[in-house]
Amino acid sequence: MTDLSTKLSAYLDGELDAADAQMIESLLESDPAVQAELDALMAADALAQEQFDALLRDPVPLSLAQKIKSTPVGIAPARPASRPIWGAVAAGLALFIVGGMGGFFLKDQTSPGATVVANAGWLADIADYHAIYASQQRHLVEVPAAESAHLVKWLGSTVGVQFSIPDLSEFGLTFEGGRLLVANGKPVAQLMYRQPDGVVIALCLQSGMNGGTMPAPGFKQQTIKGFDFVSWKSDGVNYVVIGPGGKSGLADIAALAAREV
Amino acid sequence: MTTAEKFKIEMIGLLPRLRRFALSLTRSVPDADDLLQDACTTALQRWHQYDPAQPLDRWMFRIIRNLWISEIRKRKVREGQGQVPAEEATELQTADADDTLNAKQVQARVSALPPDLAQPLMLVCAEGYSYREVSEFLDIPVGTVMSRIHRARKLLASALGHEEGIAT
Repeated sequence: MTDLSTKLSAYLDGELDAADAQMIESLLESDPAVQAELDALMAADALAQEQFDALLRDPVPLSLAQKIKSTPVGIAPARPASRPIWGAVAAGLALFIVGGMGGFFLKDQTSPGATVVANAGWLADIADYHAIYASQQRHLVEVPAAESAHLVKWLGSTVGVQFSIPDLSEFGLTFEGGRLLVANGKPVAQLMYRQPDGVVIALCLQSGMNGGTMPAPGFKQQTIKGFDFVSWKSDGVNYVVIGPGGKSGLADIAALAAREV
Repeated sequence: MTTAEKFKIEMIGLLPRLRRFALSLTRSVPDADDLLQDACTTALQRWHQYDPAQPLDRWMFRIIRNLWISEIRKRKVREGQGQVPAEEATELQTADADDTLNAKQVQARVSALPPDLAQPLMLVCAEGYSYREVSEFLDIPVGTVMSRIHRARKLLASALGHEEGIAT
């Protein structure tokens, strides 16, 4: 009786009227087969929710966020209105994804290996922290810049990574101090910088997920949860610079940080 | 910060959800990213039409969906025949899903669901829409929303190895 199963599905969504809901609840108490059917639908629902949630953790191409930032609102684009975006551009986009910074993005889609998932989780956690801490004025950091020597020793030993605090003042960034975070169950050192206009840029570092010492594959740019990320690996350590979505020059900041950290 | 800048920042923050929505329509990552980019461009052009009292996500969902329907129509013209847009989904597609269910060829993935089943399921399960809201958004009867969500769950449950139970 598909009709009853359909009602069970609607019951899960709270979409039945009172009479039907009461009927379902009575059946659930008296008929194990009905309860088993509900359990099966709930398992399917949990699976669907898990997979839909996982899609939110997929990185969005950084170029799109940057394009939104740079496009004036309410003005028609320079391109012809009838451009064949779905044909020719698809081929170009595919090349771009494979060849450019979107490689990580595509890799996420096509080969969700454990390391890739773990890395994505690390950055997603960092995004959550940044969303909270970047808006803090008085309590931006745990340990202020005035105690930099202590910060380096403390975070270095906790995270298990020796590092130096990069001087990013040529980008107008003032070092404010640092925090200890936890991402993917492992400690993360977070160094916070602030622009004169108050915008916060952070450099985070974490000991490599697998303790690997693979050579750095270059910088990866992604947008996760509305923030831009430029990440890289070096000597078994994962690094990322994070800033507000659409911020220009983040890759240059990351390049300098990579040299100095 | 100007209103336009806030609009952009909110749009950037929505990108993961907008992309998920686009994927539920296209079932293809390159198509979804192309669609998302075009939708953002369209939204920025039509910014003056946006009512800030309304949720931006739903306004963007509508733009994405309209662009995709337009694209599907173009493809049908180009290819002579093609995919059927979600809002034109018929019982035949549901019957196809039944056939697939019976053949037990569906993997337990939402990405393996037909778009006309995946869309209402995503809107209810992930976006918290009511059946009535999905009905209005997709322009299909509430009863169809209910049956498609049920069918989607049954396909997934079957792929998970649950017996057909009382629904056969």
